[in-house]
Amino acid sequence: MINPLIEQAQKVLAATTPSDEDLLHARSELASFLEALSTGRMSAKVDIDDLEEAERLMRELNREISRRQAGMPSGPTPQPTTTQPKTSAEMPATPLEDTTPSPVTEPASPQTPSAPPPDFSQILQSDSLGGLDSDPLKRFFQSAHDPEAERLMDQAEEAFYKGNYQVAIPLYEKVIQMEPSWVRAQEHHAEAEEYLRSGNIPSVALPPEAGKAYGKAQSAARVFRYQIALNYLQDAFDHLEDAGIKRWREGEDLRADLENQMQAYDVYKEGLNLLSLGDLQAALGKIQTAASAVAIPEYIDKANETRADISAINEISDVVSMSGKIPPVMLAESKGKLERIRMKYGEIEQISRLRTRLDLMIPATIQNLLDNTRRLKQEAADAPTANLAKQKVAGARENLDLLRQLDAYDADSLALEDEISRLETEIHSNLDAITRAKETFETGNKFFAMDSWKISRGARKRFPQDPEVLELKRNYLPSYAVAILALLVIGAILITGLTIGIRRISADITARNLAKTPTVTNTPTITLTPTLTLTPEPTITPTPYVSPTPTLTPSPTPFAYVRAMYDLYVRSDCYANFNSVGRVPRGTVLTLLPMPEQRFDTFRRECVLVEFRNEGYAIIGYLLVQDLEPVTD
Amino acid sequence: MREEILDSNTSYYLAEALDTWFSVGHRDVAVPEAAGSSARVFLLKHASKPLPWRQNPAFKVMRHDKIAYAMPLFREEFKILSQLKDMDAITPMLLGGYLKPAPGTSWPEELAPTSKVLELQGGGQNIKGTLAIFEPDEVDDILQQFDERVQDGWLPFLILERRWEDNLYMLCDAGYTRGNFIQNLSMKQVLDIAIQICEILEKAHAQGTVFLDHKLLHYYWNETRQKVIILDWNIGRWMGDDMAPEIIRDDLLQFSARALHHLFTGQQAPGAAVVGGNRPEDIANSPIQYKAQYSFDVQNRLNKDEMAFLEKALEGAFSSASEMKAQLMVLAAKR
Repeated sequence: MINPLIEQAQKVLAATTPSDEDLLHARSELASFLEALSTGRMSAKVDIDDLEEAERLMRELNREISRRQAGMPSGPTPQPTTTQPKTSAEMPATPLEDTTPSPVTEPASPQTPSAPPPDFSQILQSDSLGGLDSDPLKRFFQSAHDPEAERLMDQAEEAFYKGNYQVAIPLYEKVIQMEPSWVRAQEHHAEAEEYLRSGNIPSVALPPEAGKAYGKAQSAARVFRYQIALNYLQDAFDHLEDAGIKRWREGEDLRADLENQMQAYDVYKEGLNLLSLGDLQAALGKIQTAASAVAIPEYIDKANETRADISAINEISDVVSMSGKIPPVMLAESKGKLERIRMKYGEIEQISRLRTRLDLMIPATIQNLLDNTRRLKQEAADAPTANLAKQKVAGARENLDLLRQLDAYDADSLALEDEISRLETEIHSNLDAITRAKETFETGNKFFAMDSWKISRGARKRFPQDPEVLELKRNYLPSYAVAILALLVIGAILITGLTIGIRRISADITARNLAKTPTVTNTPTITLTPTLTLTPEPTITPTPYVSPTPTLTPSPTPFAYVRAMYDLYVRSDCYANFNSVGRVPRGTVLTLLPMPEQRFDTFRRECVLVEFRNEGYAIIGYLLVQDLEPVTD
Repeated sequence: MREEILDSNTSYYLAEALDTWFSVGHRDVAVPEAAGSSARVFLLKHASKPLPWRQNPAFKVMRHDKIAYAMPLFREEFKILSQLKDMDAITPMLLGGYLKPAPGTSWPEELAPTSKVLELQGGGQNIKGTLAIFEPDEVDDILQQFDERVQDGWLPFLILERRWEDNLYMLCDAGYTRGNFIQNLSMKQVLDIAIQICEILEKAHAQGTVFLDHKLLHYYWNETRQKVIILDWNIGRWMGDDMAPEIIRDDLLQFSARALHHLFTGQQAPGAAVVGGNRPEDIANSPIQYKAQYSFDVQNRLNKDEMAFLEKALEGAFSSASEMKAQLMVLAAKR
C-alpha cells in the first residue's frame, strides 16, 4: 500500500525540475499515510525497509520544499548561517519558486522571486513544517513569538550556550524590549548578568575553549603538575577575556589554590631534604607547614610518619636513661625500633649514640632471661593443669623471642627452645587426648565409657587438676559405679561357686571319711549278723541258762575267709572302673563280708566284698572272685 | 580501477554540500561545526542516469589546501573502512579513489544549503576533473598508489552511503535542545544508544581499530530502526594486533568525555576537545581524566547510578567496551 507512494515520491525527486504541485502532492500523500500509521488509524502492515525509505523520502521532499520556500539570501554574497533553524514564522513571505538547478546550471545570482502559486502558500500556512505533527522537534520549534524577537532570541541563546555572555546580554535585552513577557529570555538575561557580575560561572557555562583549558588545568593539578596547570588556567582566562568575561571566581580560586599548592610543595621538598640529612625535628616543621597549608594526604601522612619517628627516638632515649633493672621487653622493643629508624634514616648521630648505650645494657639482661626461661620451662613440666602449662610455655617462648630480638640467640637458647617445643607437643597431645576423650564420651555409652577412659588415661595422669580432666572424671562416675557393681556380682558368683565347691568337697571328704571308718560302722554291719543271729531269737526267750548252746550254733556261718592269689587292689566297687581303696599283698587272708546281692563287673566277673585288717587300719572293698581262693583252715 | 570524468554536463558531478548542515526530525539545520578539518563532503550525482545505489551517495574528498595534514588521515580511513566492511553499524565505503581537479578549479564556500540559491552556491557542480575509481576490494591498490598520486595532484576520495537520519548532536546538544530534555531523547533511549555505541567499539577494538573522534556529530540515530550509525573514521587508527590496553582505555575515555557526557547532559565534559574540526593532536593532548558537570535539569534527569557510572567513565575506569556495555545494560534495565 505504501509502495505506490514511495514510487511516486522517488519519481518526483528524481525528476530534473519537479513542479511545486508534484512535490506537495507527493509529500502530502506520504505524510498522511505515515501519520495514519503512526497514530494507529491505519492497521496496514508495512515492511520496515519501506517505512525507512518513506521516512527518508519525506525528508527529501521537505528539504526540497523548504529550500524552495526559503527563497533568496539577503545579500549578494550570503554568509554561512550559524543560527538556529528558522521557523516558519521567521521565514520571509517569499513565494516558492522553482530554483532547482539543472546540473549544468551555473549558480544563480540572487533574484527577486516571482509570485508564489497561491495554493502552495495556503498549504504552507496550514502545514508550514512538513505536515508531521508527531515530530517533537517541529512542535518544539513552533512558536507564537514575534519573528524578529525569535530570531534575536536564537542568536542570544546560541551566544549564551557558548558562554559568550557579553554578546548574549544585549540580544536578550532586545528580545525583552520586544516581548517583555518572554520568561526564558528574562531568566537567561539575569543568569548571564549574574555570571559576569559575580564571576560565579559554572564550568558547563564557560566558553568551550576556556572550559577545555580549565579541564586540562584541573587534570594537571590532580597529578601535581602545578606549573602546567597554571599555564592552562592562564589560557582559560585569556579565552574568557576574549569573550568579554572579566571575572571568573572558580578560576581565580583554582589559581590561588595552585599557587598555594606550589608553595606548599616547595616547603614539603625542603622538609624531605632535611629528613635525608637527619634533622628530623626541622623536617617535621616544614612538612607540617606544607600539610597545614594544603591538606594533601601525602603531606599529612609524611608529617605523621616523621612525628611518630621522633616520638620513637624519644621513647628509646627514655629507656636507655632508666635506672635499675630495665624490663627485657622494653629493651627488645627499643632495639627493634632503633633498627627500623636506622634503616630509614641511615647513621645519624643521635641514633648511633642510642645504639651504643643499648648495646652496653643488653648482656646483663640476657642472662636473666635465660634463667627465667629455664624456670618457666620447669614450671610448665610440673604444671597440674594444661592452661597453666601453656601459660608457662608461652612465657618461655616470649623470653626466647626477646633473646632473639636482642641478638642473643646461642646454642643454649636453641636447646632450650627444643625442650620447650617438646613440652609444648606433649601438652598439645594431652589436650588433644582430652578433647578426643570428651568427644568419644559424648558419642559413646555414658555408662560404660571404656574407650574414653582409655584415651584420657595419660592426660588424666599428666594434668590431674585440669578442669577438663576433672569434668571427665565426673563423667566417668556412672561407669565406675557400673564397674563396681559388676565386680560385686562377679565376686558374689565366685564366692557362691567357691562355697558350693567347698561344701561339695567337704561333703565328699565327710563321705570319704565315713567310708574310711567302716570299723566304727562295721559294728552295725556286724549287727547285721542279727539276721543271722535271728536264730538266737530263742535267746530272747528268757532262757539264759541255756545260752551256751545257742551261741555256738550259728557261729560258723557268718564268717568266711579267702586268700589273695596275687597282689591285689581293693576297689570301692566292682571292679576296675572304680577307685582303688587299698592294696593287699599276695597270700593275705581276707574276711568276706556279706553282700545284699551279687555284684559283677563289666565283664560279668563276680566280685565279693572283703575286709582286710592290719595294724591300726582296715580296708573294705571289692575283689574279683577269680583272684581269691578259699581258706580252708 | 576505472577512470571517469567529473563534469556536471555529461557525467558524474558533485551537488550540494553535505558537511554544513544536519537533519533533525524533518528539519535541516545549519551546523558550522559539521565541516571537517581534512575533507569536504558533497552529494554525488550523475547528469544522465541514476547511480546504482538506492540513494545518491556522499562524496568525501580531501581538502586541496590541507594535503600534508590530511594525507595520513585518509590513508588511515581507507585501511579502517576496508577492515570493518562487514560491520553494519558503520557507514560503508561504496567506492574509493582519486580525483584530479581540472586546472583552475575553484572550490565552493562552506554554505549550508538552506535555500536553493545557497544550495547552488555551496554545491560542487563547478568542480571538474578526472576520477580514478576503485572498488572496495581494491583498497590495497589505493594505498599503494597513494603517495605517488597525491604528489601528482590527485585528491583521495571516498564514496560513502549518505546519512539521512537524525544527527545525535542535534538531538542532544543543549545549544539545540535549549537544555530541555523533555523534547528529545528519553533517558532509556540514551542508554540504548550508549549500549549500541559500546557494541560498535567492542567490535572495532576486536578488529584492531580505535575510533578516537567521538563527537556526537559522528553518530546518527535511525528512529525507525532505533539504531545508531557511526561515520568518519579518519582520526581513528588501525592498530592491527598491536592494540595496547591503554589505547582502548583512551578510546573509551574519549567516548565518555565527548559522547557519553554529551548524551547524558547535553554538554561535553569540561576540558574535552570541542565539537568541530578536530585534529589528532587535539585528542592526543586531551586530559587523562575529566569531571562530570551537571546543570539543575540534568540532575533531575539522571539518577544516582547513572551519575556514578558517568563519573567512573570520566575517570578512565573502563578498560574494555564490553565492561562498559555491561554496566550500561544494568542501568538500562533499571529504567
